Amino acid sequence: MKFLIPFVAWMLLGQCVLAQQSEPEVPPLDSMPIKSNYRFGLNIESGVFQSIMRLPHLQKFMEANGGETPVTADVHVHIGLGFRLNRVKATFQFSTPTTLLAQVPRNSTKWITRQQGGRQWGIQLGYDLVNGYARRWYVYSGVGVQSIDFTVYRRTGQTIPFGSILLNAPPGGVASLGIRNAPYIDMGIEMSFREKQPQSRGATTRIGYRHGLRQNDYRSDMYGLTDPISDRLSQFYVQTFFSVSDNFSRKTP
Amino acid sequence: MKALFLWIGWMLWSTLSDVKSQPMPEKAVVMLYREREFASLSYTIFVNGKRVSALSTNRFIRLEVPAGKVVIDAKQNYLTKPRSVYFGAEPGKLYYIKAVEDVHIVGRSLLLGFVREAQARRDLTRIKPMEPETENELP
Repeated sequence: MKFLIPFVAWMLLGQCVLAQQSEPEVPPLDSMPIKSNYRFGLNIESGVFQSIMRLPHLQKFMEANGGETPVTADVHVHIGLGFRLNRVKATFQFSTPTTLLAQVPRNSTKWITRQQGGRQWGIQLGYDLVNGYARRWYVYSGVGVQSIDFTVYRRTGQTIPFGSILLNAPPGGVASLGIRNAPYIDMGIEMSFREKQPQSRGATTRIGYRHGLRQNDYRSDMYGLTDPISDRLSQFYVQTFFSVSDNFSRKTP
Repeated sequence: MKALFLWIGWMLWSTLSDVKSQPMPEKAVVMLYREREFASLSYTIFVNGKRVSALSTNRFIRLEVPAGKVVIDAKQNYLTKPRSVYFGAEPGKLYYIKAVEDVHIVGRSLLLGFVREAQARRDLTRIKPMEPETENELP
């Protein structure tokens, strides 16, 4: 009889152990990765942007004088340096147009205004209104200056020796006509990837508008101009670039 | 000694009778939810390879899954990386799984992870149920 008690106890204990062994795998709780939270980051960006600009007075002047309407859409390359502190981001950027879109009609004998170059630099300050797990959506504003340069010429159809090219400049050609250092204010939205590692890489897209603060006179390096026409340099742009960031001071969740 | 035998016998009988009287549920329940995310996609949810529902942002779905090993997948299209969660579902148990969209340079995916009940209950107070799909939308 005495051996029966340990046997029954063993049976009950065994059942418990078996029950524990046959339990399915318990899923780990809190297995969702947490949102990264680096307080400070330095970033370098490089990319391109497409812009479109209106130059109504120059266009009107060229049309009134029998010229082709100047193309004012262009692709720019840009580089930028910036930092982010919590949800605020500041960026300094410099860009220059590629004149890829400044193609002109090949057979036209009208006056042609071809964009030759320019530059642009400015600073932007943004705040991320949407601070998500994978992306940040910034609203930003900034200030800067931009310049634009044109060459005005007309095809003659003549064939001349290269050695005499400097002696045969046709009348009316302007090798340098443009607006220099026109100030603007900048505003737009930016979507960038959230930094998840101490060294992060990501792509960013900006859509914005640069509004010229005042009408700026056209100047030429060839002549001093009196009573020049003026335009306000304002442009819409879509910017896409890659950025690399170093991030510090991860907060404990 | 007799009393001891009687007590052990009663314990065994009551345990067995309890097991017989209560029908064992064969399914577990999974509450799968997403919090509000800006500009995010809706994903299709599969349980053990079978499509069960779509899951949009700020929505939850209640899934009845069979007990045993369960695989829940979230897919969208060929540009998104499929993500899965594997676990052993206990009959009658309630699991909370949170989903968050992750975005990379070349694609995106829906991360799935278990969360504690207290946190899930807090989150679910702000989240609406997913509307049931029509027959035409189901495969």
